[in-house]
Amino acid sequence: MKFPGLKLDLSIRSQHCLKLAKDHAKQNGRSTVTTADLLFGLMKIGQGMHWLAFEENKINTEELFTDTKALTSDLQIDETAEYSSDLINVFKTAERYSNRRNKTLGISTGHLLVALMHSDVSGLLEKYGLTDQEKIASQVERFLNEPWQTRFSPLRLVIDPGSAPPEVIAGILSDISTLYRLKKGSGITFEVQGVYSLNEVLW
Amino acid sequence: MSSEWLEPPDNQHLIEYHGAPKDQDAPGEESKWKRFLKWACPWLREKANLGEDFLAAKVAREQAEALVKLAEASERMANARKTYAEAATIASKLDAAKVETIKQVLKEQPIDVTIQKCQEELEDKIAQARLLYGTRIHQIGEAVPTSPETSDKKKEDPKA
Repeated sequence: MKFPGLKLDLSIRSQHCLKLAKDHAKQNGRSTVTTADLLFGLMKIGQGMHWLAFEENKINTEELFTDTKALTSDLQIDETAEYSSDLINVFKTAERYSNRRNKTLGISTGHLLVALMHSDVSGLLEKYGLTDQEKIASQVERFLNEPWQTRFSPLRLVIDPGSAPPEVIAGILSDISTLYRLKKGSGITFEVQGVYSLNEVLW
Repeated sequence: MSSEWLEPPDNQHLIEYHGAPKDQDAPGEESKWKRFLKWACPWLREKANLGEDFLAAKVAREQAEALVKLAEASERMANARKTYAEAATIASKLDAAKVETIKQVLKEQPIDVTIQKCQEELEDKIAQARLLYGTRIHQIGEAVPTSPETSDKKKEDPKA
């Protein structure tokens, strides 16, 4: 992801959020993506580390989503750059939070949420009880340290199963694990990390 | 390469899997894992690539404005997650069942030959799934971990 002076290592889900944010800004007739658009992207994707924080803190996500949409639709921007200066600061902050941990999953959506709490949309987040950045940052760290998260950089696969039954996918995953055993490793445990739709409309 | 693939059916989901070593406390596991990623990732990337499709994929909620539709989308996503989480569980059982077989095979043929055969079998499975079901696999992320090197003897401090 290219930003002026920044080379960001965004997680896949964070990349999706940013894409949703870009699309949303465009739909609202803006060429500049803002922090509010990023918050919209986080709300829209509806899963991830930030969502776990929402759930743990019993945030009313439906109302927050509605307010975010209202905020982005009324937004007036003086800037002409692709990303607002506030948004670039958010990514810098998120990167700092991400760098606190010695792992390679990249900047998670949880880090983005914490960074947004330092930004010009902090007022909206505070309205919903998201006031303590360090508390949320700690929660995100805890989520990232759940048992399925490891100090090992994961092997990341995205699979479009097509019409294949789970057994077929299992056969492929199992063979990859066998290869690791043949390379003297202990085998591989796979976990589903995300589910995405390939189509724009699901119904 | 993507032009060879069958078009995915409607209402298709993409499943993101993360794999990590089963026994992370085994001696030398971290360096074995790093060597494996360095070796396997380029090979997996060569075999299949979803690339742009994945980056362009839309999340299910994108089109959902009404809560009813949102719930429906969530249900579909949840069902897909459940179905393909099952694949990971089955894979784990298959893998465990193969441990003894591998030991026997290694008594009869050199490890390099065994690895080569396993690669060919996997390649065939990927190709067959692509032809029969339109399945596509993409390895994402760094082939070589970018984190600061940590030795197997020195455990990482999560607060570092």
